[in-house]
Amino acid sequence: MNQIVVRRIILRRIMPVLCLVAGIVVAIFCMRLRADRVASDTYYVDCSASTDGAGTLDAPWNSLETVNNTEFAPGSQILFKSGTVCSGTLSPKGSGKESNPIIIDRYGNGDKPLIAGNGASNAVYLYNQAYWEIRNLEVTNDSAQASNRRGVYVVAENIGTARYFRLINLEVHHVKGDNTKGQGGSAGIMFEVKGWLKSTKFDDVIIDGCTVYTVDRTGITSDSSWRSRPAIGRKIDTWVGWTNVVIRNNTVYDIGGDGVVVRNTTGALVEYNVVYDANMRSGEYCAGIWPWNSDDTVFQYNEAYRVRTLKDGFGFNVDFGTTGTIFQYNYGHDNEGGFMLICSPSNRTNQDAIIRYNISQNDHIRIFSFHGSTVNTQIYNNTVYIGPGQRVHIVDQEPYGMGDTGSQPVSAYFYNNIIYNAGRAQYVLMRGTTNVFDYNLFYGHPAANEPPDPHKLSDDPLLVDPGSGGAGLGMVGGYQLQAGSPAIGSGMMIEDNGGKDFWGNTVPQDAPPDRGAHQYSATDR
Amino acid sequence: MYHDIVSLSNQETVMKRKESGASRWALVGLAVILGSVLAYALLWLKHEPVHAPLKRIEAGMSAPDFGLSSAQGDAYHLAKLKGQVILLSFINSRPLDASLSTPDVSRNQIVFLKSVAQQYASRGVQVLLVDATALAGGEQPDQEALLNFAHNWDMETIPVLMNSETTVREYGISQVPTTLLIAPDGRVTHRWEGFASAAQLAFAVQALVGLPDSSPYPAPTPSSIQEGVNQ
Repeated sequence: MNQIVVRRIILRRIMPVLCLVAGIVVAIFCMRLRADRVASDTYYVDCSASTDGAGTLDAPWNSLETVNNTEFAPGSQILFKSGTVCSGTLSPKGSGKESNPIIIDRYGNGDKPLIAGNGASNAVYLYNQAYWEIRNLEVTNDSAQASNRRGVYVVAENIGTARYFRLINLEVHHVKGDNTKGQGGSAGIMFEVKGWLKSTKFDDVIIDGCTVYTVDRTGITSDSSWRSRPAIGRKIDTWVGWTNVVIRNNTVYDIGGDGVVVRNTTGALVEYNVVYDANMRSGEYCAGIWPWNSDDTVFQYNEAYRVRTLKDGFGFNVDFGTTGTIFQYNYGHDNEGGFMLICSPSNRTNQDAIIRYNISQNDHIRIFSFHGSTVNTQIYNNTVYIGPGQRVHIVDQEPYGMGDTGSQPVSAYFYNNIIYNAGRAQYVLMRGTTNVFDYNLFYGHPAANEPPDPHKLSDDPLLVDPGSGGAGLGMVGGYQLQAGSPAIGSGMMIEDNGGKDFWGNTVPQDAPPDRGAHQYSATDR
Repeated sequence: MYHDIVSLSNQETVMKRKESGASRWALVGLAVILGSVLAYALLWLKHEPVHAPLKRIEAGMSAPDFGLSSAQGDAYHLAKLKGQVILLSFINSRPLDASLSTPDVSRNQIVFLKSVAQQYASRGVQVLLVDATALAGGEQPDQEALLNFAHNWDMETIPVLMNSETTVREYGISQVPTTLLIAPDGRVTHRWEGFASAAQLAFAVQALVGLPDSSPYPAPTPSSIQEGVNQ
C-alpha cells in the first residue's frame, strides 16, 4: 500500500469520524454551558415595573396576582428582582417533581426582594403542592392590629404525602400575629397538615439559614390534624409522623412566644440554630426550642439564651407526647426560666428522653426542671455552671400544674454530670419518684438537699483557667478539663452514649468516660 | 489513449479536490479538537485548588497582616484593627449541594459567628468572614455574588472579605471553615478547624472582653417561680 492510498484512507475514513467526535464534544460542551445559564422555564418578576410583561427578563411580570394565577411546571424558576417590594400574598400554583423542583429565588444584586403581606393571613402560601424551593426572600406581614397571620405558611390537606420543601436563607420578620398557637397559629414559618379525609404528612422538609425575628407568636413551627394518639391523651390513634424534617442554621429572635417548635414528626433533626429573646410578649408558657407529640427528635448544636419570663422561660424543653428525644451538644445561657424543662401531664407520654453533653451557663432559677409524669429521663455528662449571685434549683420536680396536681416524675437518672456552683443552689426532689444520682461531680458551694450519690466527687474539676473572664465565668477553652482533673476517666460507662463529647472528641464505649461535657482523655492523654 | 489520459487527469483532479476538501475538514476537525482541549484546560485551571498553605498560624503566634476588600466595598487592614478583638473565619460561601440535602459546615459556622457578633459587638468584637470557597472546590464567587451572599445571610455588620488566596496561604488554611480568634495585641489565641460551637467561641471571646450584655431583667429568685408548663 503506497503512501497516497494510506493518505486517502486517513482523509476519507478516519478524519470524518474524528471531526464527528470533535463536533459531538463541542456540542456537549456548549450544551453544558447553556444549561448552567438558563433553565427551561424562567419567569422574572419586578414589582417596580410600570407594566405587566410576559415574565421575561426584558418584560417582567409586575404583580403577585400574575404569579399567583400561573401554574408552574416542574423545573420552573420564579425570580424576583432584588431590592423590590411586592405587596400581598405570594401563592404560586403547581408542583415540581423529583430532581426537578420549582424554585423561587432572586435575580440581580442587593437587598433581597421583599414580599410584604401587609396584614394578609399569609405573606407566602403554598397549598397542596410539592417539590418547591424558596430562597433568598425577605418576608413581612405587618399590621397595626395583631391577628392570626403568618409569614410563610405551607399547608397540605388530604393529599397523602407532600414531599420536598426547601426554605433557604429567608428573612421573615414583623409578622404581627396574635397569641394563637398549635393548628392555625400565628408564626413566622409554619408547616401544617389539615383535613380528616385522607391521612397526610410532610416528607423531606429542610428549613435552613433563615432569620426570623419580631414575630408573634412562634418563630418556626409545625402542626397536624393527624396528631391524635394516646401519647397526648387521645384514645384514637390517627397520628402520622412527618419524616425527614430538618431545621438547621436558623437564627430566631425577638419572638412573642416560642422560638422553634417541632410537632408531629418522627426522627426530626434540629441543629445549629440560635434562639434568643423569645417569649417577649405572649404572656404564656413558652420556651426556646422544643418538641411536642414527636418521636426520636434530635436537637444538637443549638444555642438558646435570654428566653424570657418564668412561664416557662426555658432555653430547651422536652414536652409531652414525646418518646426518645435527644438533646445533645447544646448550649443554654442566661435563660430566665432555666435551662431544660421535661414535662408531661398525667396520662400523657414523655419517656426515654436523653439529655447529654450539653452546657448550661448562668441559666436562672431551674437547671433541670421536671413537671408531671415523665418516665426514664437520662441526664448525663452535662456541665452546668451557676455563677455568683445566681439562685437556682439544680433539679426541680413538681406536679404538672394547671390543675394536674397529682402528677409527678416516675424516674430520672443523673450520671457523670459536673455541677460547678459558684452561687446558691438547692435540689427540690419529689418523694415517690425514682431518682438515681451516681458518678456526678458537685463542686463549689454545697447545695441544699443534695441527693446521695454513691460515687460522688466534690473536688475541683480543674476546668481550664476558670475565673479568667471575671467572676469565674469566662473560661478559656470552655468547660474543658485539665490534666489531673478528678473527672478524667472516673465516670460511669453508659451504653449508646452518642460516641462523642461536646467538642467532638470520641467517648470510649469500653472504658470509663470522663465526667462532664468534655472527654479529656480522647485528645490529650 | 487521449480519453484515458483525459480521464486519468479528471480522476486526479477530482481526487485532488476531494483530498483538498478532506484536508480542509481535517484542519477544521483538528482546530475543533485543539479548541476543545484548550477550553477544558482553561476550565481545569480555573478550578485548580489554591496553592498549598505557606505556614500554619497557630495559637500564640502573631496574626499576619492582610489588606482585603469586602464585598460591601470597604477595605480592611488587620494592622489598623489592632486593639480590637477579631474573630476571623474562613468560610465557603457556595455549598456544593444547592438543595442542602447534604449539610454544609460553613453554613453552620456562619450562624454562630452571627450570634457572637450580635452578643459581643458592644464589647468591641469584630467578626470578619473571609471567602475561601476555592478550598471547598467551588467556583470562586465574584463581588456581586458575595454581596448577595451577605444580604442573603442578613450580615449588615459582618464584612465578607474577598480575593483572599494570599491570605489563605499566609494563615495556612487548608479547610473551611477555619476560625481564628485574634487578641487586641495581634496575637492568635485560638484556632478552630472545622465547626466551632457557640460555647467554644463564647468562652474564648469572654476571656478577652468579659461577659456580653445579658438579660435586661434582674435575676429572679426561687420564691418567684410560678408553676407552669408548655403546650
